Amino acid sequence: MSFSDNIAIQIKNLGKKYYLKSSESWALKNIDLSIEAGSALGIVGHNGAGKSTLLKILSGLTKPSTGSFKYRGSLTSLLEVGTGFHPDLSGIENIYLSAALNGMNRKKIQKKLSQIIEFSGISENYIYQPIKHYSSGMKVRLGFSVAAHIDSDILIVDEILAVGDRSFQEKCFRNMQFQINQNGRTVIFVSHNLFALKELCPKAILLEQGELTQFGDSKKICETYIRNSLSGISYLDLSKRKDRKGSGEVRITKLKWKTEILETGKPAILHIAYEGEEDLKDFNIKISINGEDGRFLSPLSMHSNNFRPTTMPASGDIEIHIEKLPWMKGKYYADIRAIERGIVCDDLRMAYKFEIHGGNYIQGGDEFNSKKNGVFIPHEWNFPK
Amino acid sequence: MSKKIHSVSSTDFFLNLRNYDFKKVYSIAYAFARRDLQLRYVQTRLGWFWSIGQPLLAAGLILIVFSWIVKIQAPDGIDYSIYAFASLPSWLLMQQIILQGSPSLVHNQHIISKVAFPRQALPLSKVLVGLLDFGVASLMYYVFRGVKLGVWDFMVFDFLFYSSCTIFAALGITYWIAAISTRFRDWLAILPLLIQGLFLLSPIAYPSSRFSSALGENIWILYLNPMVAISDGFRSLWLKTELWNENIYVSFIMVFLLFVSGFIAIRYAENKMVDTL
Repeated sequence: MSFSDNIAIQIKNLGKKYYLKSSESWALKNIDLSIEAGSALGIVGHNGAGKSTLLKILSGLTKPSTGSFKYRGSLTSLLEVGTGFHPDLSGIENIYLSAALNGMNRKKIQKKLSQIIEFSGISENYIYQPIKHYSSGMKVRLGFSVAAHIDSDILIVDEILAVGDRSFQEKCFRNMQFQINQNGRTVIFVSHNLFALKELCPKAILLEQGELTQFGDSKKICETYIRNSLSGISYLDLSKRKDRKGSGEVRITKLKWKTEILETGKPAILHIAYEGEEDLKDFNIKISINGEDGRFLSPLSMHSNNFRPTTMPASGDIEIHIEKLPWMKGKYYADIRAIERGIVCDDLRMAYKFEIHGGNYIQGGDEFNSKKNGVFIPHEWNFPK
Repeated sequence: MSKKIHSVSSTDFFLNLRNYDFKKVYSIAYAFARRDLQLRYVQTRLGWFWSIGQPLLAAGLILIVFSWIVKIQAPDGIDYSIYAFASLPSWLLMQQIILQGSPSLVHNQHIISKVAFPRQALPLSKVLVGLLDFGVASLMYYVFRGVKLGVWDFMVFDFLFYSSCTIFAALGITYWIAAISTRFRDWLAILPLLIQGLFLLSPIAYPSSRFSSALGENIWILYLNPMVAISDGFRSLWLKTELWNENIYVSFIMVFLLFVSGFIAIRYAENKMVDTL
């Protein structure tokens, strides 16, 4: 088959087989795909659907078991921010090291050094200091700055936009847009942030159990993805879910509203059950409530609420009481994470779906009609005095 | 401008060097070597003095143990220190490359799992660092010999040849251990023992003529150790001692075999590393 000029990557019948305790399993099967030069493609799928495997093969980290792919020009994959950083080296030295690892030679790095430093926003006094003295935010900013300045025709980006503080995330996001639209790069983009993915990539593919099940308009793909994930999950028995991340020392086994009918402005109790092996210290549960379109709306976290029991039993239950449900009519879903002493023990995306049946947040007030998800904030209307 | 088309297939043979880019391997090895040098004497008191201090201490130790305690003598009435130290820099180079290069893949597995760069660059970077120390140690020996014997000649080609032999042999061994240890870390556990064995079996602190009393007919087995030819080579270049023993070819052939097979081993492991590490 010919490899026409407007194609940046052509993938044929790509597959990857892993051997796990004498049984084999296909992490990726029969992938056929052509990506146009200068376009951005999003990859959507659950944990374990084969996204990482596909990226690993394309970036050359591992060999495919079947099939082949071709690409035009240079290819760089950014699977992590700040790979290769060494705490005892200064910011500048780390820029050189990280950029060199990603295939840039010293001359090119020298040319871009001032841009990289400027983008990271790290001051003159700090850039010559060992990065062990940096805050974690500074390290992340430096890492992304290096990544953003790597010359490459094709960029493979895995979840690295989800770093740093809000304003830096937006800066990174705009930089990615610039890379695609102005620099004419071809970008393959993986993110759990479906909102960012839709904004950046006009087209997307959906991976399910290692197979490419859909290719097309990214908005539609994201919708399908959310619909499929919501319909296919058993909500009551989280313990059967396999698509988790984290160390596994603690597992969330239940996440469910105790209240049967959820209405805006009414009280509700969210019940969580967890199972672990040893007593828990400095334990935190973080829940993200997301809208139907995948956009993050509200955080529910023990530590954010300054709820910090010194120890907790290895297994147990915990409840969140909400006096007035703030969410507007619509469907929502929740991601949940369990963290002990800073280590993520369990990480479940789309752990729970629920529906809010509308209603007024303020007694006597009207219901605010909107087709989108939304959150009420308590406020007051006054005449100026 | 048409850009280069790269292709990757499941059927690619691991030894296929179509996409092999030595310039890239070298530039990444250089970056790692720089990192090592920058980090080298972080939080030490004496810092760069150790580049001189290390070979001095090694030399002192050999002098104490082998000359004063074991009372080994150099042939042809040559002063023992001049004789033993002639091949010491090459041994230190070999030791440094193997000791630091072998675990370099396992130690950097985090980087390996996230960035696709030619893996050989990691062991190779240790060669670049080692060469710096080798240069310093050789210069020290050159001055030492000059002061002691009043001889200031320097055989550039022989020096380059035996230095290359050291590097290739060390790289071969290092590639092997680095490649296997991605699967079986046992090899890293016995690495210090391996180095010790190699040192004892190499004629660094004693002349290779001592081999003749061991093994009788089968003495060539001892020459499987490439350090024998390297050691005799450096002595012949610095001290004009007799080099040729009919068995020394075995050592030279081993240098070649070790390097080629080590290269193949690491190329083979390279493809599976991310899955096995």
